[in-house]
Amino acid sequence: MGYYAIIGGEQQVPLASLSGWSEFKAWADTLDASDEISHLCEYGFSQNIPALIAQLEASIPAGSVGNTVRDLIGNLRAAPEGAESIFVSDGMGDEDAADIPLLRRALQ
Amino acid sequence: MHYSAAIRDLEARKARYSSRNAGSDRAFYAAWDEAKHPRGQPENSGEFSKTPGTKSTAEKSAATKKTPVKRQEPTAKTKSEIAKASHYMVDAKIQRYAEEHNEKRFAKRIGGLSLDDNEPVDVVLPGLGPREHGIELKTMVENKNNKITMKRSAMEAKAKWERKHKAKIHTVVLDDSAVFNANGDGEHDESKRRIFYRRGYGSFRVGTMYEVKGGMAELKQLLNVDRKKLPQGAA
Repeated sequence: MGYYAIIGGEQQVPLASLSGWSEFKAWADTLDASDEISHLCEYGFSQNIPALIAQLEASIPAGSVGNTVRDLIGNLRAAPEGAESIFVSDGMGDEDAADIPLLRRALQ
Repeated sequence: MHYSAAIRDLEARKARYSSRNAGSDRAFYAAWDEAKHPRGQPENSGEFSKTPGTKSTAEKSAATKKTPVKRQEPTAKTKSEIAKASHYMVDAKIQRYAEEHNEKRFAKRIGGLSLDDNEPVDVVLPGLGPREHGIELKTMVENKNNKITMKRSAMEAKAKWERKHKAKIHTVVLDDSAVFNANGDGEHDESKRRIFYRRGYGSFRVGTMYEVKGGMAELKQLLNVDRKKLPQGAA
């Protein structure tokens, strides 16, 4: 998963692979009246989640981009209460906490 | 593309490649006029265009490009949400660099296939035996972004994918901080790339990962090494 969506500053959800996000942006370029989607693609964030959901729902494409769009809509609908923004991250940061060991086994 | 479909596609491509190489290559290549097929552009992933005069992805995109939207000033609430996240927002310039210069080339060099879907991994490839490999690929172009931060929901998606596909997930970081714009704006120097590897996924600093100094050949070997035999930093 190349890119994640960070919703409300705390919820990290898978967004798309590197190629998947590139495809998503190419699809977004073909849309009319989709300023929130364009803003998310161009600047990496959107601060109007209801408008973003409405624009995504109005133009769900077929194929793999459609899967990305549907998952994004689902995650936006499940956003933490009061969340205002979504931004795109590649999972890198500078959190200064001690390294967390791999938690894979704990999750299985 | 769904994972299983991606694997089928990869296998079909490999079969075609093997079949082609088993026959006479000379006649195949003799009909090819390189001058008529531009290649090497990042947007073509270094491949020939299918027909002479075919527009590149960038040219097509430029033809359909809309007028850019104006950047909104973040509200106080948005600023606070971004500040409390332990992640950096990805700059569009860096996104383009990663897409054009790294992922597809990396997939090709390691013998895998990049997924263009919202799968929890970026590249898949067959493993030795029944297990497959999924690779989470990161591109780092600034030293400050030195930590992979993964929250529980993202890790759960990966764990689910591993179980479903009986696969192993690996994390690979391409540290291009000395590559990106090394010789000026848009002039990159791939000879300065550093590759880091760790089996699995999670939150960890890049500096604690194993540095793969043997290039792609060593990286391919590491994918199939038993976890207990991995070098320090790789497990």
